[in-house]
Amino acid sequence: MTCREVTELMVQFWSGELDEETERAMEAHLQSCLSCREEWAITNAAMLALKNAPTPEPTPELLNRIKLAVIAKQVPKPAPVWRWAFAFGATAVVFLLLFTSAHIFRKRSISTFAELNLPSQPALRPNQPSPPAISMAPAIKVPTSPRERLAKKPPSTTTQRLETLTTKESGKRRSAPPILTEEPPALEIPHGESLDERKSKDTSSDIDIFAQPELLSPKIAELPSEPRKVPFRAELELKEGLKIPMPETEMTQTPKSPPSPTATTPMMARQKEAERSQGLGLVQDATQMPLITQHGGGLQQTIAAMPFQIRWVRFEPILVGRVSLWQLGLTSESQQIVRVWIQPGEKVEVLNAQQQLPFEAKGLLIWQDKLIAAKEALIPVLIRANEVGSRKLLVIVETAGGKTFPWWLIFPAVLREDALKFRRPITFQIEHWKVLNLLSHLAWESKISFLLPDSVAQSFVNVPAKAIPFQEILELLERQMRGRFVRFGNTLSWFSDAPSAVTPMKQ
Amino acid sequence: MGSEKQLEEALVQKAKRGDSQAFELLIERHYQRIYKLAFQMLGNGEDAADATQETFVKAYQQIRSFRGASSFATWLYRIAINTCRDMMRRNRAIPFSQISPEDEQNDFEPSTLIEPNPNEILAEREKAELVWMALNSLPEDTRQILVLCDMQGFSYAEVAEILNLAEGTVKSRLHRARNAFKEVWKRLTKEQIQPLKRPKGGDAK
Repeated sequence: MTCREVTELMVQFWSGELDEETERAMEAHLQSCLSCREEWAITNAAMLALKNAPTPEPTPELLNRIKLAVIAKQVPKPAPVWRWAFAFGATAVVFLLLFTSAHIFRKRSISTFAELNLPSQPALRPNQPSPPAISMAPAIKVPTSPRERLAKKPPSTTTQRLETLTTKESGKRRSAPPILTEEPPALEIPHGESLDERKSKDTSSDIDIFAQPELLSPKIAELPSEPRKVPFRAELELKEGLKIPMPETEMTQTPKSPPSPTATTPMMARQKEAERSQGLGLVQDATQMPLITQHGGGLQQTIAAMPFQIRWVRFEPILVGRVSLWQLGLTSESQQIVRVWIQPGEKVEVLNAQQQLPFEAKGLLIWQDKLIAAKEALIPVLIRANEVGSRKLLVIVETAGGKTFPWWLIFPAVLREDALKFRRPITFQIEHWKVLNLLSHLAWESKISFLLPDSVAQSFVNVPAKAIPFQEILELLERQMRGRFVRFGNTLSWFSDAPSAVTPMKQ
Repeated sequence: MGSEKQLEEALVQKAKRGDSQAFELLIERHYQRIYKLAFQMLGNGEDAADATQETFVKAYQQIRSFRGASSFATWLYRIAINTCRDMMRRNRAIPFSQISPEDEQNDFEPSTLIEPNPNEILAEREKAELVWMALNSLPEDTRQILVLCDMQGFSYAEVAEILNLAEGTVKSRLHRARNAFKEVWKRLTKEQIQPLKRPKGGDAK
């Protein structure tokens, strides 16, 4: 066998596809020929490297993203039919109700609608034609939405949720001008079903406040729930799509503990803020709600009073498996003692944080000290990510009074140092994004890290479904969420234009 | 195993009848592997995620035309491979992100600072980088067959089905592809341990 023949057959020899005789001849040649042995070593190394090349796992957001993209494809087909069916169903129920419980209905419609000041249906459903039931019978229009809301009220009137308490507190100020109607379309979810859900929940707490015996009469509570059973499939599925549990919320699901800072604090800066972030919280799946509202609750004050600001002071790229040192700069408006808690996310460890005993639902304690007014305190964070992908941490600042202010750190964990990727526009196929998810994607695609308050992270933004340059996405976020990103090296920290970050925008 | 197959078939049948939940389950079962395949074909996470999404959207739109002549997975891989190839053509102007020249200008690249040791065994990470560099410098056809056979571990028969080729053709193409890969690998490793600077991967093609 010549060296040339051996070299040609090397790959087949490696994969064991040669017949026995040729194989033996190869082996004999390799024994005697140094250069062919070298060639063999190279072949072996190359093929092994190819076979074992580590391929990263997809980020957890991808599954959700794919499902939403698929769902988006199926919306147009069934919608028209079901929409009409829904509309007729609703009309039928409206008439049925008119005949069955006319007097109760009238009484309630006057009291609740005037007092609740809830938005009319079309305002909340900008993307959908208003159901013919409403447009054809304007006289019925007024009562329709409150009744539906009442109908959708969950069977149990005793809700544990914090916002119930907060709303109760401020319930008497109900005659304030309409609030949700001012809500910008940019912050809404584009489908009706979960908005309905949200409204129903909103009002469920409202009903507690205004509880009038006849309002809770079972007739009303049960009858109009029928239209919801109409299989408005596209919407139901879209809703389910949004309900897919996301890792970041799982992560925060522990805390039930901090004794509801929102509820107990006397100050609820402005009713508007309370309403607003309730609304945002309620966009989420019911199972995630206590939490989000809790965080959102804490932030209602953050945003109203904004006693803290966090920013990145020192950072380094997070390489998988290595410990990186970050420093967060925490500034307080007034002198006070604070504790900083951290909840490491999926596949992330924070090495200098300690578990407290008894178990603290706020997470691991990383820092506690006195903050001097307007002087930045530096909090070191030693982070190790265990897998490639977009990762996040929740940092909670707790004041001596027990109020909590949560912030998200979102960063890419990479295998090797990567240059920032600003140049390539990012293509969006989904228009409606939770800020947290959007930033997880951006963090991964641009290799930039983000730091932002939970209230902003849990909000929703609309992004045009096309290729958009990175800078434009940031501007879009800044515009829609009323704040700005301040860059420090590879990081962007969010600064709210307080207190307007929660004030609904006008468009 | 058999029940796995039956379950998958049942899901496919349901999905064909328009059951989107069944389709979601199919997504859950396959998206990780499709993503990996896309990553191996495209060489970066962003494109791989896009390609994975596009694959499932296409699959959803075409599932009614899926006759069941091959397995659902094979059918899905065929879509994925075609999607990746389309994307490669579309992105041809964009350099392979992991080794794009902008990355190479990194001032803090440690290996540019230390004297290279010729006997040094390439670290695992560097090996992986070399694999992506080498794959990137190979033509699309060559790359796809290496990805399917050597990285994804499909059998000849499966690859033949996915690519719609005869088994013999797959074998001969794989043989050529492996040789081509080895040659590029050889060149890259030489570059890796000779010069003071790291190789410019983008120059390979």
